[in-house]
Amino acid sequence: MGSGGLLQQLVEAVVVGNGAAAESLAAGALAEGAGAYQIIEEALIPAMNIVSGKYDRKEYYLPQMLISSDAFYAAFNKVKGGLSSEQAKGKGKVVIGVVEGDIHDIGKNLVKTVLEANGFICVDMGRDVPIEDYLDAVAEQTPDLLMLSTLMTPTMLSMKRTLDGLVEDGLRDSVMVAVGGGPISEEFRKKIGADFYGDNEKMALAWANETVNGKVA
Amino acid sequence: MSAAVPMTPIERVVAALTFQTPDRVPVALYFQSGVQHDLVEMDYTWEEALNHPRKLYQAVERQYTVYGADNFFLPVDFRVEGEALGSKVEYRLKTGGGMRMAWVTDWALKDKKDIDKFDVPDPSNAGRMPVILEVIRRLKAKYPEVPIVGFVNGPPDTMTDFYQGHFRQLFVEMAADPKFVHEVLELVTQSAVVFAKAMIEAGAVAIATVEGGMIDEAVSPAQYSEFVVPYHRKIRDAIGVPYIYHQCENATPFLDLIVDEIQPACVAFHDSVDLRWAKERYGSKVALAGNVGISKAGAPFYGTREEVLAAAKECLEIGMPGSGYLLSAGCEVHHGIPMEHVSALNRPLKYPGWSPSDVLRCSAA
Repeated sequence: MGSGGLLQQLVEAVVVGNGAAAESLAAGALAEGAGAYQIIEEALIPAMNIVSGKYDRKEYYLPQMLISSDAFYAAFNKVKGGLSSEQAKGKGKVVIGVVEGDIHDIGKNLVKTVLEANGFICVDMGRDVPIEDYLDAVAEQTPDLLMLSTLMTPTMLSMKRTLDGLVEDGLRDSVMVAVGGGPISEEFRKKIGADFYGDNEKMALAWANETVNGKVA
Repeated sequence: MSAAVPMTPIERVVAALTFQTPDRVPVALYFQSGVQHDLVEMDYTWEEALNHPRKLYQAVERQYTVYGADNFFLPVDFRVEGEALGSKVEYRLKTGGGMRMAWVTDWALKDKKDIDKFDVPDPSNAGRMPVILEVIRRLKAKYPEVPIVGFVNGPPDTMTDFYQGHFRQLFVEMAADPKFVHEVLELVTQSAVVFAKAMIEAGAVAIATVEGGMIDEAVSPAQYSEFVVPYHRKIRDAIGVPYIYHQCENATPFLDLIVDEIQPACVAFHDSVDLRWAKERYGSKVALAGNVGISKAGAPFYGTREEVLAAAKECLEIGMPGSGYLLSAGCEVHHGIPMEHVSALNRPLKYPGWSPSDVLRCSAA
């Protein structure tokens, strides 16, 4: 079978969330001569676009999204060594996490999966992430975007402190910052000086696309 | 018409739950991290209070004696059942008030093949369950006229405190290995049942629960039907006292399942549910509680006392006709809100423009 057939199978493996098959098929496509970037462009991103579409149509929910995301990364990690440094950033690089003091990560996982589905490479910091870890990640990973989430009102202050830390460390101008989560509002976004507030994953994706395309100052 | 003499809190709550006529709408709260205010005042750490019957009793007592709620609510944290199943917690700092809540940092079940090694815990000696039971006994002895509501976590939520990987891994397993998820849910459901029964034996007159992670953006109604409904129904059927159900976030897609299949005595609504719509659709089937805004920055509970009272009045105008209604916040009473706003809720004569006759309009249908 040529790499074209393997890439089609890889799409299907990611869509159904079969990580073992996705990893194996990605390795097979590489062995058949497909390039790493080609595998991502022709199989992994189209697969995640299908997954994203299924979520939009309420055919998929978070459980299916997450196993597809895991399958995506199983394949991506197999091929990423063949990418140039620019290609490895995908459409854009995003550091994403739940702020210090909060463990609720459902919304963050949704946003991350939708971004991945659309070609962004996400560095998932997890939940209850100390402010210093975000500052280190921004300094070391040089992401295009930093996305902060919280579900709880008291931990909203962590967002402000993270932004203050970016300013203090001279990193604020290097990254665009989005905030989101249950209690967050546009007024709060303005108050703490973040660049974007979104109420859902679609808004986050639209902002991410506009931002990396240079449409947002 | 309303009763001529003031009801006790338990009479008031029973009247509301059974669609009779209370003397005023009861104020029933999921009172949890709001206890932080009391712990600070009493100079107790979270770890001290949650592990010491006398200290926890002193904090919970204030729900009635200081804030005037028509119920006691405990446990005030979510980790009791996971801890009883063997998970380890640390008291870690949350920002925005110095809270050091118990968070699971070492899960009991790390490898799914070990599920058969776990049994339903004995509430008399498992984790912090004995502390909760002792506090309930003390409350019952001193305040027999105040209903004590014992809290059990929703089974999927407890699974995330028991099985390593938190909600992300639960969601992955729902898609990848549903049989395993059902095995775990069965265990944690039976754990909830024995804990609930022990709380009832100690003096609780109702059991409340919450679904915090199985929310509308994460799972489909079909997944909710498979992984949530049957387990709550088992608890509801086993306990023999009113089951009070709160769904976090927008419960609208799940409400038919909750009301018709779980069949709780009362559904407590999150801020995001349209109370008027819910009252019209479900108000004759099930008692409703809710839903003064508390979950979003700028919600009434974060505003002025007048804004809280105006929002409460609006809820009452919708909820109280026909009875079957309890005034509540849209989610747990957490530590970010001024507590004087809570104590204002049970003083309806302070509501803007209300007279005694307005307070008494909560007549049965």
